[in-house]
Amino acid sequence: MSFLDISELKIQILSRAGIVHPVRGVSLQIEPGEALGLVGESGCGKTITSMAIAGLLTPSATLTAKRFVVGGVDMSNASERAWRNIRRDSVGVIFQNPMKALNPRMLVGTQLAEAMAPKDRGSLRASHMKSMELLDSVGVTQPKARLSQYPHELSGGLAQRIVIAMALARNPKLLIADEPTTALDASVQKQILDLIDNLRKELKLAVLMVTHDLGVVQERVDRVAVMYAGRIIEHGATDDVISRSSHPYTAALVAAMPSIDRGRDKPLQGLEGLPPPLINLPGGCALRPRCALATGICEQIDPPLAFVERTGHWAACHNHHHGRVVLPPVIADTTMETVAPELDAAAIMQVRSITKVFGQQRLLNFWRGPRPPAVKDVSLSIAPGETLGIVGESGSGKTTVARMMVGLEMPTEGEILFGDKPLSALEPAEIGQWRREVQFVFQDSSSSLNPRFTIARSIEESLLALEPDAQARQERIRKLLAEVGLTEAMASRKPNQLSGGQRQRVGIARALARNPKLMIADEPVSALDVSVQATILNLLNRLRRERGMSYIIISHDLGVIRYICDRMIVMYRGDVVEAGSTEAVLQNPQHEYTRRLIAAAPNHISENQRSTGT
Amino acid sequence: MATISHFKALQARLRSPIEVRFLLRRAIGGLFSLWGAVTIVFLMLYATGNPAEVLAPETATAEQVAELARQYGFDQPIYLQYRNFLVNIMQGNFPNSLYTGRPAFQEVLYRVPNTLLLGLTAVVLGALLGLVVGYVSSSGRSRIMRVVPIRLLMILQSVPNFFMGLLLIYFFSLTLRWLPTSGFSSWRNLILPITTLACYVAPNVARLFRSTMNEIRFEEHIQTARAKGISERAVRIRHNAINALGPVTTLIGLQLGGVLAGAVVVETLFAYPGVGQLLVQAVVSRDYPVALAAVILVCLGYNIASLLVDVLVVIIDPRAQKR
Ligand code: SF4
Repeated sequence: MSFLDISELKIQILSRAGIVHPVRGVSLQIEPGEALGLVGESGCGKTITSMAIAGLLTPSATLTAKRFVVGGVDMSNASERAWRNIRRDSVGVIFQNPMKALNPRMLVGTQLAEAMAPKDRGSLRASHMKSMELLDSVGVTQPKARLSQYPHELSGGLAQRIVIAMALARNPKLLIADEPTTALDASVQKQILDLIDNLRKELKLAVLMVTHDLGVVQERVDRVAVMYAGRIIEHGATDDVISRSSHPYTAALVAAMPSIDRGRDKPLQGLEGLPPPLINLPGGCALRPRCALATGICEQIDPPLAFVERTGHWAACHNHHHGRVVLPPVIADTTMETVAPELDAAAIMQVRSITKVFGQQRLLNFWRGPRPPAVKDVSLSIAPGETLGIVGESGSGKTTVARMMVGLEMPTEGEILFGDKPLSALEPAEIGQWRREVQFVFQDSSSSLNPRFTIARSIEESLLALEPDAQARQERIRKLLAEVGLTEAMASRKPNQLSGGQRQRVGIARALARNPKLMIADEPVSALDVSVQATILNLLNRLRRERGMSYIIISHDLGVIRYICDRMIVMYRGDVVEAGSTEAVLQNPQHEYTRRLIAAAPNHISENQRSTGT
Repeated sequence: MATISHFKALQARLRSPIEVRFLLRRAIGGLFSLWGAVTIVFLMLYATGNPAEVLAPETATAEQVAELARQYGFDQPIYLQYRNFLVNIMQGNFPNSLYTGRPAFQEVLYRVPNTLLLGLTAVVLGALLGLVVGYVSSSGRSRIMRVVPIRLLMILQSVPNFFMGLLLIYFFSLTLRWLPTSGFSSWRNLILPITTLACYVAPNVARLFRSTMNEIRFEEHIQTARAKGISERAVRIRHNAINALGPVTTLIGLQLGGVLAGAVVVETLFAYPGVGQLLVQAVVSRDYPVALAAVILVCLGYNIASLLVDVLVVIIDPRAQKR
């Protein structure tokens, strides 16, 4: 019998604007020892579904279900007490951000003890024994020392292992993992996923893996359910669903995924738009406004989840009779015509063996001794028309290098050249030129846009110095918005009325306003959903072709780098450990760390899986 | 609540949250701010003109004033005066009170226990009341419990200190004749001033505590605690309430300053022989050594209190000492 058996789960939330329906009829079963992936963009209802399974909905939400059985117990009308018993005896939960999932004021040991069954924590000795056992089972090194540490003293990967240990403390039968690796560095991601995998096999756990990243679930879960707008729209064996998608949404998610074995000759396909707000949803298929294959019937009838003979799994689309969905080819705009970088031309900027040490100026700091440098002896240069990727995990110094290039930080040693002059020797007019021609795009534009200004006003600010005439300025703003793919209606909105992808476009438009020669972008897509990420990457590629700009792209995602960059450098703990053309570095990595990074990159869908299948 | 003490024992056994280095840093900071306060007092004394003129009787001749100035060292250059000033303070060496003739410091120290008794009791009681009301208004079972107590406190807050005191005197002393209006003869004298001050502290604490608790109520680590299957009550107390104490403790620390200021008003109103009343008397009668000693002691007290508060904050949230 399935450990978890849910049918027709619906959730409603009472809000000021009306009743929101984040989950509109979801059915799931998971067997012991089986892993199910629940995939979708943010706002599709996957997290709230998983929380409902743990009985952790907020009080404003109400739940109805035809069948809701957890571990043989009917939970459809269960009391809070019954839910607590279920959580205590049979369900463990792993949350997205391990740093936030641990109580910051309690020691690791205390929190672990709290999760144990009363018999295990009968005495200090007993709880100590059990803690050591648990930490050992999740592969934590020096378990004894960890017990007396605070969460903020742990690395993200360690913290996530401890969260997993906590979830396992009472021997659950079902493990719910809500984006367990999204907040972690790539090399750590793999370890955590492996750990969950092994635990599942050893302990015969049923696992529900919630994620926005198809690459994460591939190879890790047996079955995958894709959610959109509160419903499951495709469901089946993982490989089938990925290689023979029967629903346009799944097909689009697959086509949007950058990967290290996917060159830029194969354009990514983004999915424009957003999931609909789940309030007063009109009839018909919820994907309709974003769907390339929509026809008349899609407006009338919401397609039910039906078995598709040809692909051997379930899908909810009127077009499923054809079996595998073939999306229309990408619009010519997004295809890449590689511009040969003018390598012999003089570099736009050069960095000559810079070093940066933070925190030396602090007054009462004498007992700490010198800190290790954040950036050690780094050199690089960027030619017109060239794109350079900087890869590394958090703390590798990649962002610091970029910030120094635009003057947000000063190097402790070494110099940075604009053209052929060091920044420190620039004349005032040349400083103006540097500020204009080298633009910075932040990871999350929402923090760099003034929340009280309209989009037009934010862009206008960058134009003031260049375009004294107000009329002409408005004209430029219109052109810029069109160039980054935003409608004119956006101009009068405030940042919080835009989606993450739209805000990132505004950030890019603002940088473009000054006609830069070089754009430095710090993790420009890492805060975005895969589908939106693809549209931004395509935009960057198009702008590069049309304007002949250079980019420096900072990213932790090798797939993103592979898709955009000609050259790349790999940074590790402040050092450049590898540099060269993207192809060469990825095909034939020389440094140990680069090899680890490549091995750890979430195994994105490989080429043959994309193109084969019927 | 056997489990709570169990976890406390475990937490204490594992590691003390306070680091010596943090205490040291914080104490050095405190010394600096004390020095700043003393310097400001000095500059203000210096800027208000020749203190000798104030000290001398109104009929004194210019020579007598000059003589007095020399006696106290007011004729020396500013840096020497400043040095002497600091040295004297460090030695606790103050001129005698111009009225009682006793050493000024002693005069003030003599009253410190009274003010401590009043101020600390008021802060502790006010904070407790605020915490209870805040907790109930965030986690109470019924709507009435969640709404009514905090509304009542909010009404109290809108009444100014001195007016509150007057109301209490009018009601309990003059109308009901239950409690004395003023003086310092028995514990009953304390009730009204303490109530007045506590009414100043409680509403702010209650409001901040409630909003912080509500804010973090569904945060991931609290959901994690729920996911462990422990009782909702344990989640509320151990994770929600105690984690919300950090900002509240800081607020209470800030309120101490307010309470000291309020003590000046309340002590005067109830003729309560504390430092506040003494300070007012000294200012009114231009007893400058006593006023100076009172200001310095109040600063010192405030600094020690805020150091204690910072230590408390670190115990509650160990990240605080990492800046
Ligand atoms: S039903 Fe229509 S709109 Fe919905 S996914 Fe299928 S083709 Fe697209």
